[in-house]
Formats: sequence, structure tokens, C-alpha cells
Amino acid sequence: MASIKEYNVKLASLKNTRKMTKTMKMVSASKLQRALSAQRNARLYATKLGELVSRLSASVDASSHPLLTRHDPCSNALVLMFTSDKGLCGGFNNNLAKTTSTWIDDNRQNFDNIHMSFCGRRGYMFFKSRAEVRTHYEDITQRPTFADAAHLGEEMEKLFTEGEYDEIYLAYNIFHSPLSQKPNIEKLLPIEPQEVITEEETPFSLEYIFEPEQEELLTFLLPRIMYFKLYFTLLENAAGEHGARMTAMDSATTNADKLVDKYTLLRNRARQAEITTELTEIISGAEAL
Amino acid sequence: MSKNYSLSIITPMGEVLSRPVESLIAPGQYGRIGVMANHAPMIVALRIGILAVRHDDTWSYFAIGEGVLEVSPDEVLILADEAVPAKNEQEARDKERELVEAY
Repeated sequence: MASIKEYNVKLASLKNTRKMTKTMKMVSASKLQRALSAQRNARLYATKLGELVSRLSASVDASSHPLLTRHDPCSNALVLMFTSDKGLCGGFNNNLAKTTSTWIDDNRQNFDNIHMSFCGRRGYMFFKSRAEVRTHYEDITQRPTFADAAHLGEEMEKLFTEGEYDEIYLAYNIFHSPLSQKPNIEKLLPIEPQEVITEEETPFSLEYIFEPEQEELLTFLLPRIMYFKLYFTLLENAAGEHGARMTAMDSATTNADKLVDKYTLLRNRARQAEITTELTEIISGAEAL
Repeated sequence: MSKNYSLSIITPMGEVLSRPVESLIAPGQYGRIGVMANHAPMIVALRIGILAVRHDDTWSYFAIGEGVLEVSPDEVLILADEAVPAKNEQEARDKERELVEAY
């Protein structure tokens, strides 16, 4: 049996761990709230922008826009993967990495090349030796801003319109709740026409003044829909990361609690044993006199 | 005292302003554009610049990112990448410079 001192050292370290996991859980909970409220705020913009674009496209033919044009043949694909920069968030990054590599294996025969780009260090670390990496965009998953999303979007637009890639996909976790995030892969470019054009929208009446002309306005606004999608994905990824970390740290705290209980019991038992031994020694010493 | 109309400024970060205003001056892509009540309906692309809004006889300023201004018969809507409120014109100009660097 270990001595009381050894138990005390073990207990102290367990209690420290518990303190840390508990703090991390609380920090993640507040970051999660921030990410969720950013998502709520973002929805209004998406609705208004969507309305505007589909009303514009009701009067102008949008299908010829380069972002909506399918490339034929479709030989190069890019997968842009969103993960967290830091670990300690359960299976959040690993599940996505597994889903993505299965997806790549399944789609290998459809494309000549599948390359990958990353937002977030974890995905990059996983794939850097397994796939062809194009770019690793650093430091944008921690605090998602629209400016970062716009830069990213401009680059994606360029890669797509200049013909370097014929299809661009997003791989990220959809946030359902702090307990569940679902890996998802979806197409970013080309934009599916039905995503931006809804049939029932009424075109603008004749007395509207447009500056610049409607076609040009649409060209100005369509990429914004894509930038926004990237921004929302960044937010989704952040919400998922913090949710997953919160859950992981919660169960870590529960486990630490159990261990603290177990070791407290063992320590008390050891202390009692020591007391009993001492008493026996004193009594037998006294009897000898 | 001129007539008021309702203005909303919406960015991906949320609604920045929603209130009745007297007039505004926005940075259109082909020059600055003033909007007062009963303006003809229009849609204008905006560039990064300073948006001045007049209400209750005072001007307030925002540094705004690229976006679009829609004047419809019952309200005016600005959708911009960002809209940062500023205390005065000078501060707005500084923030505008920050936006130019960020985008």
C-alpha cells in the first residue's frame, strides 16, 4: 500500500487537473455563447442579401455569371477544411478528418486531382502527410471576422474563375448542440443557381434607379453571398469547437471528481491503518513495561 | 424640419442602426449620394467610405465597408461588410483607413 504522502501528492495533482478542466469548460461555455450570438446576428444580413440578389436575378439572367458556371471537364477539385487550432475538444476534429478522407477516397475517380486547403491547424496536421496541401490559412478560426472571410472568398473566387480548380468544396462540422456536431461536406463553387434564384421573387419595378446597372450590381453582390457562406462556416466551426470542448471538459471534470473521491477514500484508509499500527505499537510497548 | 424616414444598417455582425433619420450621405461607387425622405426607389453599390446620417439636427458618422444601399418606398436599407460608428468626422476617417487596410 502506498504511503499517505504519495496519496496526498496524487490528490493535489488531481484537484489541479479538475480545476483546469472546470475552468476550460466555463471559458468554452462563454465563447460558445459569443459564437452563437454572432450567428444569430449574421442571419439577418443573409436574409436581406438573399432577397436582394434573387430579386435582381429575376430581372437579369444570372446563370451566365462566372461563379455560377459549371466547368467542363471537371478535373481539379479543392477541399477547404475548417477545424480548430487547438485540441482537447473530443472527437470534433478527428470525426471531420475521417469523414473527409472517406469522401476523398470515394470521389477520387471523379477528379484528376483533389487538393486540400485548411483553416485551422488540426486539420492541417492530420492531412499534411496524407494529402496534397495547397494552402494553410493560419489564425482565422480563432476569431472569425467578415474581413478574413472576404479575403478567403476572394482567393477562392480567383482559383475558381481562373480555372485552377473546377469545383471547390467545404468540409466542416455543422453545430447541432454542444453535445453533437455533424461532419459535413458541401459544394462552395460553382454556386448552384437555385441557391440564389427563387422563382417566386418579383423583379424590381421600372421606376427603380440602378447604379451601376443591374448586371454589374449582381456581379458585385454574388461573390458576397459566397463570402458570407464562408463567414458563416467559420462561425459554425467556432461554435462547434467550443461546444465540443465544453462537453469534453465537462466529462473530464466528472472523471476527475470520481478519481478524487476514490483517492480520498484510499488516503483515509491508509491514514487509519497508520494510526492503528501506531496504537498497537504504543499499547504493546506499554504492556511490555 | 424635414420629413423623416426609417433607415436600417445591417452587417454580417448584426444590425448596427435602425431608426428614423432625416437624411444621409453615402459613399456610392461613382460618387457620394444623398438620400432624403421620398427619394425615388433605387439600388446603389457602395464603396468603403464615410456614411453621414442626419437625425434630430445632428450628424452622426459611420465608417462603412463595401455594400449596397436600397431605397424602397417605405424604408432605406444599407447592407455593408462593416459599419463602425464614430464620434466625429475625423474619427470616422481614421476608422475608414483601418477598414481599407483590413479589406
